[in-house]
Amino acid sequence: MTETKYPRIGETVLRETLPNGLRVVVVPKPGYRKRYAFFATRYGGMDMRFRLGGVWHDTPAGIAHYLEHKMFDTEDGSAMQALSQNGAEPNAFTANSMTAYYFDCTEHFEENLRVLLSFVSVPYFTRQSVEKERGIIAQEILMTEDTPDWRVYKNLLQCLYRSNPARVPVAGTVESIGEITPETLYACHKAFYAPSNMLLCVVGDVDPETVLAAAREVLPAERGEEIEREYGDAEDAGVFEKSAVCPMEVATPQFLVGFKCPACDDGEELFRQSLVGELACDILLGDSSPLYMRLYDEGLINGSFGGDFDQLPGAAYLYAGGECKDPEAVARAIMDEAARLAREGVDETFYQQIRRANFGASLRSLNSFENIAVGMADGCFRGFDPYRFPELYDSIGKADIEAFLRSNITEERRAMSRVVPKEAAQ
Amino acid sequence: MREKLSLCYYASSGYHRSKGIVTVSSGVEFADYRRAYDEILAQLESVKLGDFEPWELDGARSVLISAVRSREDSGARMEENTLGQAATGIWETEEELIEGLLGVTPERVAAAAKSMTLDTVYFLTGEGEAND
Repeated sequence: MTETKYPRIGETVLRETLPNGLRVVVVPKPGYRKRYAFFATRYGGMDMRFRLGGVWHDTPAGIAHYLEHKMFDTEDGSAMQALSQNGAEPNAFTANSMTAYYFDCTEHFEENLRVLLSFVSVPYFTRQSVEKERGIIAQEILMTEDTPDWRVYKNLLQCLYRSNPARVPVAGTVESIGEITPETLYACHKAFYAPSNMLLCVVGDVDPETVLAAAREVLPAERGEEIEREYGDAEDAGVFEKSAVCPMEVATPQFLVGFKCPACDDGEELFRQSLVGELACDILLGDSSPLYMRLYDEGLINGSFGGDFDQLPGAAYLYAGGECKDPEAVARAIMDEAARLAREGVDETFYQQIRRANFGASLRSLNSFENIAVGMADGCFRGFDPYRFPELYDSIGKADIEAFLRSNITEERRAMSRVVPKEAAQ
Repeated sequence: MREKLSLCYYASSGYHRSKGIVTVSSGVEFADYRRAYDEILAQLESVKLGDFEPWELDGARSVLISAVRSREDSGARMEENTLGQAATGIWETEEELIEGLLGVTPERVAAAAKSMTLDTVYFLTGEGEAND
C-alpha cells in the first residue's frame, strides 16, 4: 500500500486501489483498542438520475435510503445480528451523495470485516421483506417530517434551488417510496455498489494486509460500469423562491436565512472552499462574533442561533437561524454586517482567533474514528485529501473571507424559511 | 416493535445505574399507543420468563465488554466513567467489570427483570388528542 505521512498532524495513511477499482484506506492507530470499519458507496439521496449502459434512468426519491435499510438482510438472516453476536455495533446512514455501512469492535475484527463486506456487496431482497420495510420507512419519514429543525432546513433548500436534487428529502416521501420494488433495488445495487464506486476505510490498530486480503477475497472481481450522474439543470445565481412559511405544532417560531453560493467542482478547491465558507460563517455570525453578541443582547436571537456552510454536488450555501420572533430584522442585520466587513475589512486579530478555533476543531476531529472515515470517503468521492487541511488553512487569508462575504451575502442570493406556531398562522 | 410490527423507526432501552431505573423509549403514532405499550410489556414478560435466545445474551454481553475495553480510547469517556465512580463510590476495575459481565447467566437476567416494576408511562401527544 502507498504510505503517506502527514508530519503537521502526526498521522499516517495507507492507500491502495484494487484491480476491481475499490479504494482501500487504512489509518493506523497503534495502541487503540477499538477498530472501526467503514464501507461506503458514492450513491445517496441526490443520485436519482443517472446513465448506465448508455441509457438515462430516473428513480423514485428515497431509493438509496430504502436500499440501505434492506442491505442488512442476507439469505442466512440478519447481518446486524451476526455482527452484534460478535460484540460489534453496526450502523448505516444514507446522506445526500453517499451511503455508508460501518461497525466498531474490540475483538473478532477480521471476521466482522468479512461479514460487512459480504452483506453490503451481496444484495438479498424478497417481495415480502421489501413490503415490510415500507411501513418502517414510512414511520421514519413521518418522524422526520414532524421535526421542525428538519422542516425549516428542507424548505430553505427548496427555496434556494429550483432543480438541484438537494431539495428532495433523502428518505423520499410516503408517496414516492410506494413506487419502489425489489427489481428497482437490485438494479440500483448493481449500478452503484460496484467496487469501483466504493471505498473501504479502516481505522485502528490493524494489520493492513488483513484488510486487503478480506477485500480481495470477499468482493467481486468485476469493476462495474462507469456511472454518469445528473444533478438537475444548471441553477441561476439567484434563488428560486424568496420565502417559505410552514405552520407546525411549535411553541416558538424559528427561521433559517440562506445565501446561495457558486458550486464547486470536485477537487482540492472544493475542500478549500468549505474551509473559507466555514470561516466566513463564524466570522460573520458565530458565537464569538460582534454581530452575535449584539443580536443576543437585543433579545433578537437566543442560544439556539447558529450557522454553517454546506456543499453538495452542484450546490453550496451559507445559512443561519434559530428561534426568533423577528427573522427579518436578523436577516437584515446579517447582511448589513457582511457589507460592513467587506467594506471595512475583517479585524486581523479576530480573524486569527477564529482561524485558530476552526483549525483546532479540525485537529480535534482526528480523535474520532467516525470523523476520520467519513472525511476519507468525502475526499475520495469528491477528489481531495482531507488531511491536507493545514496546508489549505495556510493558503487562506482574511481577504478570502472579505471576498466571500462581498459576493455571496446579497439580497439576490437570499431566501428565508420559517416554521411558525399553528395558531399564529390562523 | 420495529421489524415485526412496523410500529416504529426506533425502540431502545437504557439502564440508569445511579437511579436504579430502566427506561424504554420509542416513537409511535398516536393511534398505535396501546399496541406499543402492550408489546413493550410483553417483551419484558418474556425476559422475566427467561424466554430469550443464547445469542441475544451473548451478543449483549460482547457489546458491553467491548464498550468497557474501548473506554481507554477516549479521554471524555474515561473522565465520565471516573466521575460516575466517584459519585457512587463504586470503584470497579475494568477487569472486575468484565469478569462480572462474563458471569451473568440467563437465570440472573430473568431474576433482575422480575425485580422491575412499572413506575411511569410518559406519552407525548398533540393538543386535542384524547388520552387513554
